[in-house]
Amino acid sequence: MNELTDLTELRDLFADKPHPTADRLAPARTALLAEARTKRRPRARVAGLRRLMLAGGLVAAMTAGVIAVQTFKPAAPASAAEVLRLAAEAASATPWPEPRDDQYLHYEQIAESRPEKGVPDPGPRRITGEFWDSVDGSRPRLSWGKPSKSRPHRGRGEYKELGPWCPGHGRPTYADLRGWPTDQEQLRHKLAEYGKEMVLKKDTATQIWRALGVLAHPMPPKLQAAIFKIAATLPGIETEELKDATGKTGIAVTRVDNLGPGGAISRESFIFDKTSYVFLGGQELVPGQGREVWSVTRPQITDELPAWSKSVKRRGCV
Amino acid sequence: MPLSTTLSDAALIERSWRDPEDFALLFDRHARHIHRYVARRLGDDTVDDVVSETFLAAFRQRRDYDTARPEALPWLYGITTNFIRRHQRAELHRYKAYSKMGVLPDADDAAEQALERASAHAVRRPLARALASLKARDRDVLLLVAWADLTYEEVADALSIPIGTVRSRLNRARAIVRNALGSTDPTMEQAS
Repeated sequence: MNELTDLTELRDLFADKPHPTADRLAPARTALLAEARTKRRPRARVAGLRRLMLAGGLVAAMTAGVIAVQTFKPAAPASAAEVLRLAAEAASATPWPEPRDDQYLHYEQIAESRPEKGVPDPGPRRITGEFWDSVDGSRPRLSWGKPSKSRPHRGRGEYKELGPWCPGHGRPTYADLRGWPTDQEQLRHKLAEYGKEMVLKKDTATQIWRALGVLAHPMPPKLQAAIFKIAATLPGIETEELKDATGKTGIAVTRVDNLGPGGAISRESFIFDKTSYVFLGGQELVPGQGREVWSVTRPQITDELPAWSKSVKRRGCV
Repeated sequence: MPLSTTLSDAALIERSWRDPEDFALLFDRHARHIHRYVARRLGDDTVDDVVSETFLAAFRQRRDYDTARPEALPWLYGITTNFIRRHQRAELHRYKAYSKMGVLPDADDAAEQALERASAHAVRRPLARALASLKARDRDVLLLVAWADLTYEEVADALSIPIGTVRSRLNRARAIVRNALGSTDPTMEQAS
């Protein structure tokens, strides 16, 4: 018997079994996609944002307008590290009553996306949103998305939504953040770990920078200050002037990496008031494609959701 | 060019770390091969579940994928091998039934069965019996080579075993198969 006869015969055994049709595979594919959708993790920073841009929801930093706008003086700090250190001081000086776990953080956000010329996109989109986040995530979160009237968000109008805090594919709750260390070394480690969930196989500095998306939501000012101090030590940061989502010009700290769509160059920035160094928001610019700008306003603490929330339809975790 | 044709499996998997839904493109590339392989081993009743479990497990392990390996098919075969093991009794029952009756228990069409029985000549039935008699780990290696067309190196990758182990398991399995074929081969019988 030929040496290979056994394999040849074996290859013929049950060889008439056909490949499956697409219909036959469809349920398995659907199950896979359903699982994948629950794992979709919006990249930190724009974290909330991108999801909110899609789901509707963003912020109006209207109260930020209280801060006096002054022209940028040449005497202002030239180095990005210095800007972040001043921002840390400003955050530390912010009076802030600690919320209880059973309370809500009520705040507004604005997000706007603008494609660059020649890039197909739904067009400029701007959403203002108001949110009520349960401090410890134990109560449903209320979102109220309000697309701009002058430039309506295509395909989606105003919406109100009441949903649980979905574990596994969201961001940390305020109570979680309160548990984060403010010790520099421990926090650096924590941020790197958090960033790693979003950005694998990159250097630690990039992972930490990408983890800074947590800044897009209210957090204890002490933690915010500690985060700015760590950011100040990262290599590759630079300053530039940028407008935040309310149109206010601020001083921004930017870091460049290649984490844009398809590995494109991406400039991720955090924007501060030019005189007070209060944190205003951020921007991600992918040259040749577009930008997303977002702002957060100083939140308030409330005990209850507004009465109208009782009529809002509840949703479950995806 | 669509992503589905320009990226390597490794690049697709890496993308799925950030954009999980891209993993479906990997399914589109390979599910039909995995499906046919599983169907040959387990039959039509369980194959759909096993394929679904395989891709869900692969998706959950996507961050552990070694992106130095551009082709993901061996990795997928390795995962599916573990799920096939859970149905080992059904697999063995299938081979034994075939070796006795010349027909597979999951063939559902009577006319087809008759045809199948007629064509299940003297070689295939002992072959199925030999498959049933192999140690599970030897059978895995043999069928990954014979039915999934993996190279020795790919089998080693798929099962996370050294390539020397692939060779020894394959040799052992083939010796048993050859023996089964030899004992029923009319020409061999005449010669002896």
